[in-house]
Amino acid sequence: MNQLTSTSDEQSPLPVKVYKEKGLFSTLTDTLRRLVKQPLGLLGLVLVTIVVLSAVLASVIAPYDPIALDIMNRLQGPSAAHWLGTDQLGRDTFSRVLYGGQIALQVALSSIALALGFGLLLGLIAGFGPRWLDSIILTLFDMVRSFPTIIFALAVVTLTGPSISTIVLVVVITSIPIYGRVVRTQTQALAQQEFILAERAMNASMPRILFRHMLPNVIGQLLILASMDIPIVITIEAGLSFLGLGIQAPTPSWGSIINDGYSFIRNTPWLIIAGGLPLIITTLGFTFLGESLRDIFDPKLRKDV
Amino acid sequence: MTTNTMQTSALDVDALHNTDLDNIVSVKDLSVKFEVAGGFVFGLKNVNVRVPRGQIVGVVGESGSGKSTLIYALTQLMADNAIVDSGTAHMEGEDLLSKSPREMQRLLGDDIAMIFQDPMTSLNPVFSIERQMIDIQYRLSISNKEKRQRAIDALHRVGIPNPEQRLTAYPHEFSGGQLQRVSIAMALMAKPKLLIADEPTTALDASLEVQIIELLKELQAEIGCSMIFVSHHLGVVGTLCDYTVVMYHGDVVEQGPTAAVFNNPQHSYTQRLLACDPARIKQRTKRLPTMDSDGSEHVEIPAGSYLASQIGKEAQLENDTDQLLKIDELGIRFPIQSKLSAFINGNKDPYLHAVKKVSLTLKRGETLAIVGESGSGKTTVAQAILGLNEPWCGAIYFQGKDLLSLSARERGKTRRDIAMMFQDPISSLSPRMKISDLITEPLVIHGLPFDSRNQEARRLLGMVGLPLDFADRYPHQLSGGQARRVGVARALAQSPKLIVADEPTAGLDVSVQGEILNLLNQLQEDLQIAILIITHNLNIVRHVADRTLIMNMGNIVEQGATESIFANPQHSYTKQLLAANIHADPV
Repeated sequence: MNQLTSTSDEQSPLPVKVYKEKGLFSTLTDTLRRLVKQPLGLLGLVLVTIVVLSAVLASVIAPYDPIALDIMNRLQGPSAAHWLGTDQLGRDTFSRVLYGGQIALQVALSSIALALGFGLLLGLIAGFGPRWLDSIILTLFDMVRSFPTIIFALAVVTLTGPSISTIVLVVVITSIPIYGRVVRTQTQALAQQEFILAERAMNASMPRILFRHMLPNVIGQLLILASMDIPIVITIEAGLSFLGLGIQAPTPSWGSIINDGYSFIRNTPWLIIAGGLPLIITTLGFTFLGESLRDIFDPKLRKDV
Repeated sequence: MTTNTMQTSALDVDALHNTDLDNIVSVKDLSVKFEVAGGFVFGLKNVNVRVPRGQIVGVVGESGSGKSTLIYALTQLMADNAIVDSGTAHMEGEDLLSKSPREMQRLLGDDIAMIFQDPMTSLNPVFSIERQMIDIQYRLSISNKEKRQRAIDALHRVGIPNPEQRLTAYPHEFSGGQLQRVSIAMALMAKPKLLIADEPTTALDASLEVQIIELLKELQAEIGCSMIFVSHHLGVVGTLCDYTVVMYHGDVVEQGPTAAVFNNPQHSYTQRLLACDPARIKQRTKRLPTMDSDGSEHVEIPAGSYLASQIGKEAQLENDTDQLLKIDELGIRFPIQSKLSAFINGNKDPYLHAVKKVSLTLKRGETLAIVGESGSGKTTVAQAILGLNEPWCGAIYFQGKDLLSLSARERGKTRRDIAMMFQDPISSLSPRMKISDLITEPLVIHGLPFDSRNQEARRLLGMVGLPLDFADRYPHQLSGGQARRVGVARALAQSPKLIVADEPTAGLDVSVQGEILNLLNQLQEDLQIAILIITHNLNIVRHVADRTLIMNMGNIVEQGATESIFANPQHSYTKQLLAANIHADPV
């Protein structure tokens, strides 16, 4: 990652060697090793793995075509033939949940990852950069937040047309300010601390201060925030799809399953349960994972040192 | 050693017991242990302490000696993992240890009052002093107006000017010394029988320290209460207390009348502790004795390290510029009002002038001390050298180059030769990084050659006398003294020509102070480093500084050779400062 090749000091009697900081791979395996040692972390990892695998392998696992209609067997409860019952058009709910996971993870993971990345960067710059830049970034954040999400989505859809990427775009733009503000406040508090002064006194470069010293101290809270955001993003996706602004009709998504379940709750409770359950599992999985990761990244909370 | 300990304390307890003193507090065979992962840690071991009525008992000891555990045990303010193993603690016949939280609540505030170390954090920042002072009188059935009057009287008594107006102020609007006076006023308003003061002067400047101690003594005599005064500062205990209790590793190793303990210490620990105190060493010395040695041992510069590769070069390079650092009429100001509002209000000078026309020079291998109280601008000068603030006038020359006229990039490169040690040893270390990464970071930043980060870190750790496995630790796992050593290692890693040390002994026990200063001194000799010490601790300045510079309100009031300043101060402020310096002998 960070390589040091010094040749400037020609008088040096020392052999000049290339110095490498800890590689990405060993950091990853190290994190994984610590993760599985924590019961909560292990549970989170298992839940997330189940969700991801079932979405990725949907075409292999799913017993039915998720959009094949079977009007005769509509709104049925769970049975050996249909594990989670069928919806109002007789489509197999289990298959729809599996395929819906693809959409949910695509939307939730990509939009949250993007929002987290941009929010982190802008927040760090706003918190540590000059005052005028801070004002500009904050004004932008406030402008974005002043639009109601749905109205904003309508405007974007008018420009680009309904699609998954439209949903991602809307979610990213509306979530950046949330992450950005958290990071900015934390960064401002950290910037006053002596260890940042010490780094500046050593002539550490701005990227070094931001990414090696600030980032590890703010990332923990962000992970929690991000994992709690996953269900929110999935409901936004459901809402937009309901309005016809997102995923189009026959394509299964958890949001549309819950919406259908809501409409037919008088006929059967199974539809809403089938749509809600994966949402709960996903949220729990990512929250456990997020909390354990925070503990691992914070040496003060690490128990196994 | 253990048997020795037992004998001494047993002897003293008997001595105290036989005299017919009326004890307000008596602690008998008190043992406290803390439950930690994988077992227990002892906080107190069979402690016997008596507080005679109307007297001041000082509890001295280094950090971890159990002095705080003792007072927290008396007030049931101990951490959740603390377990009272055996023993009793009585106050006027009442068993303090068996009281329910409710009963204890009634006792605290009425009969027992406490003053804490840091007045800035022990008062609630969002309520006015008035609100807080009236709130603590909730047990009295008098009108709010009377409570307010009592608060005003109390503030008046502790010497707050204009108490009627100041009453509505918030904690941040007071200075540290005034805030500690406010906490004393609050503690004494209920006229308690026992006052417990936990390091009440540690966060204060020397001249304030004297004032607070005099105030405490006066008020204690006036109210007639007894007092337990906890401090690691031998001089303060010697000046204030009637009795002294010396604690070490949870044991009371010695106790008795203050004069006896200080002038004729019986236990070897007390003897060594007193010997370590730089204030008690009359002869000026650069090698301060520590707990384990007389300070004459030699520090080896580890072979193979970057530091070792620089030893020979220094002398040749530096003969041409004798003056390493020269500061010329430096002025630093901070805006306190925006330009626009200053213009509207007709304020021609909307700045706080922290440093006014300061000039100084520093030679290679020399130690210069800047002495002053908080707010004197001494740290601001240091930060200007490191480029942490922007002076508005004057010049800083380092090795002949004017730092302020250099580009930011060029200026950054000079940091290769200047290192700073910050005031707080732990919070100046990046909390998510390992010690090995922290102490070798200057080498990485400046692109200096070394073979492996881990090996270089181990060499540096060895040099500053830390165990090698500290390389894998994180800052929060270190004690203050250990973190200070890490700070020294980090400052020296790049072999700087100048080290700026901001309060290098702040928060350290006297013996650890000596260890850190000896370390710096010895490395200074080998590497010909110039050291700029910024401190308010006159006792260490007297020993380690070649020249001393006294600052007050942003100005240099006096400078010269350390010995002549101490022997013959010219300026009235210097005289005042020297007079306020508490000597370690009981009065």
